[in-house]
Amino acid sequence: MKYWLTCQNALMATLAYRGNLVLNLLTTAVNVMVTIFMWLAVYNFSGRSDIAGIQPNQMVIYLIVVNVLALIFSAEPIFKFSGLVRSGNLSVVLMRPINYFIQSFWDYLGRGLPFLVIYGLATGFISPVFRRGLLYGLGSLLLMMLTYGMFFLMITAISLCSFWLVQVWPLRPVLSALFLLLGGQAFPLQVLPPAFAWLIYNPFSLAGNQLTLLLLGKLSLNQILLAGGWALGWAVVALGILKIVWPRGIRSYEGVGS
Amino acid sequence: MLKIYRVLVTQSLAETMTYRVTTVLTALFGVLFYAIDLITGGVYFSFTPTIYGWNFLDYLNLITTANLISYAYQFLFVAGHEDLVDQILDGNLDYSLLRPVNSYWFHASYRVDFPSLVTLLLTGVIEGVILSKLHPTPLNLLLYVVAVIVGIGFVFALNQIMVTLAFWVDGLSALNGLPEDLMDASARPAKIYPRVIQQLFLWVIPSLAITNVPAQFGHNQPTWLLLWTALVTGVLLVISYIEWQRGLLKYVSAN
Repeated sequence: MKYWLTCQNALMATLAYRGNLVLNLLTTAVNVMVTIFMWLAVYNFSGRSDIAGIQPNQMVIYLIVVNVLALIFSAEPIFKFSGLVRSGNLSVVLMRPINYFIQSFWDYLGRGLPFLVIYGLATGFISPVFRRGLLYGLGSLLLMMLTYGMFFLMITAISLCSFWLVQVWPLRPVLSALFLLLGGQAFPLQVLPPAFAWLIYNPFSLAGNQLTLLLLGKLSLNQILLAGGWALGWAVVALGILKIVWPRGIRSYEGVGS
Repeated sequence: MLKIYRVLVTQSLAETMTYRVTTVLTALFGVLFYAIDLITGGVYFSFTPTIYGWNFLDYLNLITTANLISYAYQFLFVAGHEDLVDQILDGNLDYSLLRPVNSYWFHASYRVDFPSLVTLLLTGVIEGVILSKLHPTPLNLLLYVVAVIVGIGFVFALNQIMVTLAFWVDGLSALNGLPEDLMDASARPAKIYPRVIQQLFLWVIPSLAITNVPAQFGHNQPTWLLLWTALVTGVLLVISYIEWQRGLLKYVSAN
């Protein structure tokens, strides 16, 4: 229950800065429009009605959904944690009768809730995911939750570098670039030559590319299982890093801030 | 005036050398996003040899020219503009207003951003290679350079107008990113957009013309739109100057 309050606060924080939220959405909308028009021109001039199994109208939905996912899978916990370490306020958090990581998860959930609702509504109304039988629906839901948890763990594991780095701002453009290129935000990874097929199972692609294809109903049950397996694998890796690095980080943490 | 500018540039260089890692990282990220643009362009053109008459090399020319304009603006003016918003909101303009210089130009050229110079030079070299393959005639090449300079003026004027709004409204900082978003969206062939959007951004706020016109000169397709972009840029510069003078009347010092 105490964590639920964190989630509510995070949601209120997102909604309180309406100007920022609207501008963020506007910028995303402009970027999506640019990419949509470019892809429609590619379909038009290539004379193809299908690129890597994706039709033009599906490409429009793909680009919108993958950009909503880019908003859901933010890297914000890194910068929040870095702020706590740099200011020395992590000490206060550690003394509270809470688990910082669980609190951070609920905070992450609260901040992304408006976008999660959009993704959820799109899955419920546009997507065929829940009309393909109980097993497929449950598998899809599980994959979504697993991927969400995996990405949060991965971002949290990355955030631990704040114990040793004074400035972590360079990670912001790097992670944006990775999501753009490896997450399928710039283009679906399926359009790349077969030699790059292995890229599909990187954590960014699982979060962006694969969850969007799932919504479009492009993943078979086997592919869902495979993506789920990879997500679980990455989650275990991130957890392993957390387990190893956290105690070392805490030892090097001075607790006075800079 | 030149002497003052030289001092300001020297100060900027000294600051840059203090934050060397930041300089290297900023330059690297510039290159990274340019590389993503190139890869994405490569993906588009792997399915079709031309899009609205633009082949891959023309497309490269377009996005590189757009980047060139953007980095040149960043190198020459962005640091000054970032500083100016704070100076206006904090009420710290007094010292520059007392100086026997034109305050508009003093603040516009207050700092140059050296990290952007690295990406600017790199983009310039790549654009040079692209132009050498496109073989523009000497006249078209000259007009290409003119169009790029007009483009820098246009981006400067848009940003200056946004920044000067701080005299009237605070908390508008989020809006300051709008010109950048507009120019990013304009780094595509104009014809991919529906007719209404094309007309709006070719003629009313000619951001699409600013990127497309020099690229067209680059591949020997001269266009009269250059005159229009030059005219609009001139008008925007005048508007930004008048806005600055009106803004100074609203200015409240905090000293």
